[in-house]
Amino acid sequence: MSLVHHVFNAFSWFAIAYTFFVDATYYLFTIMAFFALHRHIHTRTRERLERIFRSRLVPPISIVLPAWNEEATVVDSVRGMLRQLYSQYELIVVNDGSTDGTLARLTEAFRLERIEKTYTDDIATAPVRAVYSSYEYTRLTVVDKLNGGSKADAINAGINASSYPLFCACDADSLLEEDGLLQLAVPMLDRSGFVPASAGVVRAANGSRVARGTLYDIALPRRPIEIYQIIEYLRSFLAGRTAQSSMNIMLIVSGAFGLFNKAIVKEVGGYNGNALGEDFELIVRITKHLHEQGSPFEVVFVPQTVCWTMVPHDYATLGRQRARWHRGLLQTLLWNRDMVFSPAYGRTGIVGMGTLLLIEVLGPLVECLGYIMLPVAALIHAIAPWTAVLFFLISVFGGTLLSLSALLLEERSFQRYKRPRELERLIFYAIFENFGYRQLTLWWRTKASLLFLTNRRSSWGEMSRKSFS
Amino acid sequence: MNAHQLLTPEALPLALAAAAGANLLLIALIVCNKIARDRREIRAGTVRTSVINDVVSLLEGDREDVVLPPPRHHDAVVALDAVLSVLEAIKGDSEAVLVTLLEQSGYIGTLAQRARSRDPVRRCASAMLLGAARSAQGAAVLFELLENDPAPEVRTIAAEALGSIGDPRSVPLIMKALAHAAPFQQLRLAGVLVAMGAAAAPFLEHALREPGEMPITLVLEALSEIGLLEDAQPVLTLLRHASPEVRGRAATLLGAAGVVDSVPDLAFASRDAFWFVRLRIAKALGALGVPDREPAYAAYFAVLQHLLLDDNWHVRRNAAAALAPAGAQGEAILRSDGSAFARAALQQLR
Repeated sequence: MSLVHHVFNAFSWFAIAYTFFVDATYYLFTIMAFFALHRHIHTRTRERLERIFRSRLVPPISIVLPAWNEEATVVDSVRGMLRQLYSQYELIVVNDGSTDGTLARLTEAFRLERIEKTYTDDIATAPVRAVYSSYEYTRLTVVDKLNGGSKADAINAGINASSYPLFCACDADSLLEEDGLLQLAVPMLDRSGFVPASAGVVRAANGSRVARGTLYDIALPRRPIEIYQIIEYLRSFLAGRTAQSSMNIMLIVSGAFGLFNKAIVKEVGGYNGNALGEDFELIVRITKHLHEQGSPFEVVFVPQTVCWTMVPHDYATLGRQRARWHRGLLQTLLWNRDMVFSPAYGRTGIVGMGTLLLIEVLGPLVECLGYIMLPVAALIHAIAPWTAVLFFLISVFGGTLLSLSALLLEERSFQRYKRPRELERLIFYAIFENFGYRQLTLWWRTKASLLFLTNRRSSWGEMSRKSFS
Repeated sequence: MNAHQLLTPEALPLALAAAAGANLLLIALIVCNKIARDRREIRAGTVRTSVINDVVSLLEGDREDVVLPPPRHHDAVVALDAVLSVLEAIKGDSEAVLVTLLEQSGYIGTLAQRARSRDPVRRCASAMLLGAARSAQGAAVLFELLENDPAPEVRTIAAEALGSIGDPRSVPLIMKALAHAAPFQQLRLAGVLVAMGAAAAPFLEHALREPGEMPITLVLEALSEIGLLEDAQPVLTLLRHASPEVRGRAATLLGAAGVVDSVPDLAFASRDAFWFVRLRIAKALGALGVPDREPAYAAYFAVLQHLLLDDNWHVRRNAAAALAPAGAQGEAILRSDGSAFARAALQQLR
């Protein structure tokens, strides 16, 4: 055999073993998620929680909503937030140097009045220009500040302004269900150990009907790009995070919706303004800090708690988003590379960080290489052409199996999409996701890896966003 | 061995067939699950409507008897839920009719049996349903669970269930459970005591005098929600407690219980270093309203005028809110203050 054939042979073995490893890991996570969800659904009912959380006895929560050029959605979001069932909370909107009418819309909608800034900045941020409150909407405070160059800076300003021991970080284009805070707060109260953060599910609101900050008809969108994202989110949240939480290796609390213990966040210095994935980076830093202190803790995922958000509806915006997420992943792994596979950080270091590196980082690269190597191998007769095609189909069907498993999880648990036609479409797109869309996301992530390695700067970029209404 | 020797003409198509077959099986499972669930929902809707109609006819005297599905029948869960939904909405003689129906149909007995299950989740579910059923037979089982069940969650749910029945004999047991419970259980047990209202108030007041292991802040908040206080003296003492959380809640209780004579003590306590204590004092004063006697009357306006100049805008806002409905004197203070909160408070009044 020539050297070239040896190389292709070695890669083929590696690809088979790697695919087996990745698929086995994901299938294991999915099976764990099935059992965890089943247990979870049978241990809580909403009625009991409503009784509890209308009471003033509950620990109060500050909701922090960073907003940068969100004039299209911010008023609806704030209205939704102000309808929470939780009895003791405040809402702090941070206008992060918006250049559009975000502050004007808020002032008009909620009759804001300027007040003095009386709190201290425990975490350094860009300067605060003014603080506003509303006599009518007594729970609402708006902090108007200069743009600090990152969402992290805005959230830190909100943390500084907050009065309560727990804070919930949301995006300004998020719609919380009315029992969202309530559900997210339960793990903070009922676990015997320390819970520094709890996370909810993020779902795509695209295609659903929203009026005055309330989602009242959940429906699938029309565009395939949006449906593909719905399927991805189901896989990621219902299968992935449920399993990770059950193993206590959760390393991300989505920036769109998460509840945090304020003291521990301040102890680690708040969100990092230089991090591209500030939500992921914060949890990793908290995890590291608590491990080093030897304090037992648990980051909890609450699967029935939903935050609805508008996902990108065009490929350019989606591409930028995915590239930014991937670079955030790489950056945080690099900054905390001492945790990867380190027994000093327990299961989080070995399994949590390990799978992120082996699957999320390496995966796109290996798969992209496979798309190049297999056809070339077929061309040079290192492998038979039908072998390349069959191998491609097997890996695709392995992917569709995961997406369909996530749909089955959804059907067995929350059934948010009720109409039969919607289920048909979800099944259809779960299969065809792997013929085009998956490859596109792979390319974005591979490109992000290459840009990261060559140290090219990246920013959030323009995020074109549809209004809810 | 070469990799493509593993990927033989026989192996690969078989692997592909297996992968495709697994996908088809999943699709079939998803579809069957959906069909089964939709059918269950339709069936449940039919059963529920039928049971509710029958039960309402029974209560209106149009029927003498209603036959529910047997407790172990597959429609039993829906039937029970339907009866409980009607029970939730009624009181008095009608309640007794439905409770008797459930007892005679064997539902209470079955739930009582399930409350002795080895599975704590089953015991929890049974306890909840026994509470909703408001049966005396069921209450006996709940007392047993509250006193003896090894699982804290089951004991908490039994307490909640007894609270929804409103049986005052459960209060001492709930107080005892509260002292040793985990934070979440304490919250829920305190909620049960709040729901008990006047029946629980004396026990909570006793806990203020002799706290032992009782969480004082929770006791204070629970009493504030109930709004009853026989003896204010222990609470006035707590205005000087070492913990600002306790001081603040003591102020809230005095306001909620309408202890007008505590205004001078609240005025003194308003010099507290912690803004959230001063906030609770401002809110308590607002809840009390303008006293109708001295020295409380003079102290009332003096302290609110002082709080209107507080460093913290939460405190100032609530002081303005308290002054707004306080008659001509309150309005005069707000006008002379002229701040944004004072103006907004006056505007709200108009």
